[in-house]
Amino acid sequence: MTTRTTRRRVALSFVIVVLIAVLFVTRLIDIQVVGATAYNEASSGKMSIPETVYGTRGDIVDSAGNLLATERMTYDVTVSPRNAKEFSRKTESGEVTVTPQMAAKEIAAVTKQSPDDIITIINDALADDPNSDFAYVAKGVDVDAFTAINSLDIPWIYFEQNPSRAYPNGAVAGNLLGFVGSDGTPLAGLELGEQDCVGGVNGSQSYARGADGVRIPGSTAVTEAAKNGSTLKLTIHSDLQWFAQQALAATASSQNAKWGMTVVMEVKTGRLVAVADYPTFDPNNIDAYAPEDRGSRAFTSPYEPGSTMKSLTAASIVDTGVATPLSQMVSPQYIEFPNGAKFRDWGPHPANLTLQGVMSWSSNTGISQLGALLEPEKRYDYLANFGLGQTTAVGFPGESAGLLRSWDEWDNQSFYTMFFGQGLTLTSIQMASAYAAIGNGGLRPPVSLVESCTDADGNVITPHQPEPVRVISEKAARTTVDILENIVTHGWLTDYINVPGYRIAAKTGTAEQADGHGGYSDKFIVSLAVLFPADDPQYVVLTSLASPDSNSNAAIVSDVNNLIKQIIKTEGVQPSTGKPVEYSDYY
Amino acid sequence: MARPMSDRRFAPRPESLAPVRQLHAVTRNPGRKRRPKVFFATVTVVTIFLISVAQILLSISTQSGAYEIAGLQQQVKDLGRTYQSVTQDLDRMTSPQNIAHFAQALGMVGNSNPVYLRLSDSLVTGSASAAVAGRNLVGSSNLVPNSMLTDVMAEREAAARAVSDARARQAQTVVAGSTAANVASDRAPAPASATVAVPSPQGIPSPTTH
Repeated sequence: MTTRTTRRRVALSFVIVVLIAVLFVTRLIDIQVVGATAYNEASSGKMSIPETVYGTRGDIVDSAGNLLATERMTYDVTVSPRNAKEFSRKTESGEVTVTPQMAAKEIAAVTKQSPDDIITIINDALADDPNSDFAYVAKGVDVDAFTAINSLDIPWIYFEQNPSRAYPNGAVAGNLLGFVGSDGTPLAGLELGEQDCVGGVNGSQSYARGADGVRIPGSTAVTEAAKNGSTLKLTIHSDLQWFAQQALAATASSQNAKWGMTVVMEVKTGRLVAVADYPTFDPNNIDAYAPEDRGSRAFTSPYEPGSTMKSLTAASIVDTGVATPLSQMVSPQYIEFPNGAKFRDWGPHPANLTLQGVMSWSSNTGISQLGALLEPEKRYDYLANFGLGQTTAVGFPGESAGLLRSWDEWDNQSFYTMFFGQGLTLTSIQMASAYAAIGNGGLRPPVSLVESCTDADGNVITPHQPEPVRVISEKAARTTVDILENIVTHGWLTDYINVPGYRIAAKTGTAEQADGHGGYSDKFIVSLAVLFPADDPQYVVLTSLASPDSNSNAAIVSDVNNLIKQIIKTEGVQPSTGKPVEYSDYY
Repeated sequence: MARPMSDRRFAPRPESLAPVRQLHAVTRNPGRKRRPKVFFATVTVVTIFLISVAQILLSISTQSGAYEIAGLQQQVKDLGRTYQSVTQDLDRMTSPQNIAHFAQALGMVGNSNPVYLRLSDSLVTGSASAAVAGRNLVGSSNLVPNSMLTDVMAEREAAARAVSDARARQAQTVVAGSTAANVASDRAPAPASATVAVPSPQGIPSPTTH
């Protein structure tokens, strides 16, 4: 009897224990498995704080590693309007009461606003919504302003931080660098074109915070890792870039030019050392500039080059052997061809010109007659090999290929005018590249603006470059440089393009500009293309100025001469050796 | 032989016949039996106590560690901001516009003519000519804007103005003072040169030559 009772008790207890265990396990499963997601969400909503981990955008540096663009943290100052009331502040002399007006005055002193503006912001927000808890006081203030406002300890002022782009050199290479939007989206220039290199990817993470606001150690969970952008190294030399921009701006503004550009390129490598645009553009202050001035016209705006084109024509005819520097051509002031094409020369000159004379006097009638010795197909091939009608290897955003029609589409007039740079368009970069081919023994190197892209681990990626293109023979190239050097020594240029100890080859251009109604306006684009030192060309400098007050190349030559001197000093270009080959202008 | 063996096997055991107590207290060494109980109890209690203390200490140290980490992280943040602030200044100070401005403010003039001296035969190439003030290569005003320098330039101009104002004031006081006191001395008034910030000659290093 006793044993049985004991057994029953034991069994009953066992059953109860099992039942309780089952109950607990059921509840456990309910919490841990069935409702896990909901509970997790509820808990993380209360405890965990999500945050964005910014993938920093990479720096852009010049060829010497000088910083051109970098990432900076900027701060938005925000206010909780409904809490914007007076508060007390402990100072050395005791507690003082600070009214919103006093606080606004303190903030305004840092943000350079008017205190009334800040009060208006608060009042406007409260007028819209009496419970308003958020309004911007100032956006994008720098770290110094942030520290200053933060130290004021105003309880109703809050901050948001945003990584933003800073360009320490301002407008130096600004037209090339482009800019990014306020949300970090690249919008123009190299920032856009090289996004694959410099772009960072934002990540996210969350952490838990105790009741006292202190982060609980070890609670950080990375949801998505951030990836920093790489460093983009350009071929640009920032000092020369600044000099080129300064010199161009000085001339362009004194001449009231509409726009202008200067390109400095290494002849042997095709590396762009400076690409100056006027009007220039400071990417720190985008809104201050007209949209059309925010890019690089040197890459994106093709124009009819005018007489600088004659060097390409001369190089082609010398290369095929149909002409030599001393080939004779009767070059009248005015010419009318059998196909109806007709045009005149710029100024009076003797008619008995050699090819050298045609180049020295920049005779349209002479060069078109000599150029016509070439078949159209052949002419087209030369122009294409010089890089016309196709974008360069740089692949700059919005880069233009210019306009080079196929030879069978040339009209009667442009069949001849193309010899002297009317009836086709090209960019300054294309023209500089064509001159580099002449300077580099007939071999046109690919144009480059980006030297390399280096990631955080130090892996260096250099952009793939196409092979150099053989345009003309080495001998023809040498002869063409000699012709260009004789232009300088024979004419008025010699007084302006003159660096003692250095031989310089150059060709001027004064191109008519389309007036937009199928004709030409009375304003011109004046250009100057220079190869130096002429005995072994190292650099090509090409400057163009649109609609200057004086339609003469004299407007730009002295600044180009200064730029040449600066390049010689900065890059340590060796003085010339030997004497120029002399070709006569007349027969 | 086999039988008596099986009999013995099935024979009732003598113990089961008498009501003998199956369990009985072990009476040997009663003193030693009590002592382990106290010992183990003590060990358990002490262990629990120690664990609790250790846990409290650990918790306190973790907690204070969290505050320390938070404090250090704040310090890292502040230092990061200071770093950003000074690099920002450094970067814009090294911009070509700023350097050109400084150089010109110091009265430096760029010589436009490149001249080389060849060491092998002492040949000078180029035409050596002195740099002429006012004939800078690219004019005196900066035409390549940099909005990052706006504040710096404004401050510098204000400072320059302040210095020139101070000089002017100084000169006036000196003139006024000397006339008032009617000092008939052929010595130049000392205070003017003493207060104007002129770099001390001792600050310029110069070699001692013999």
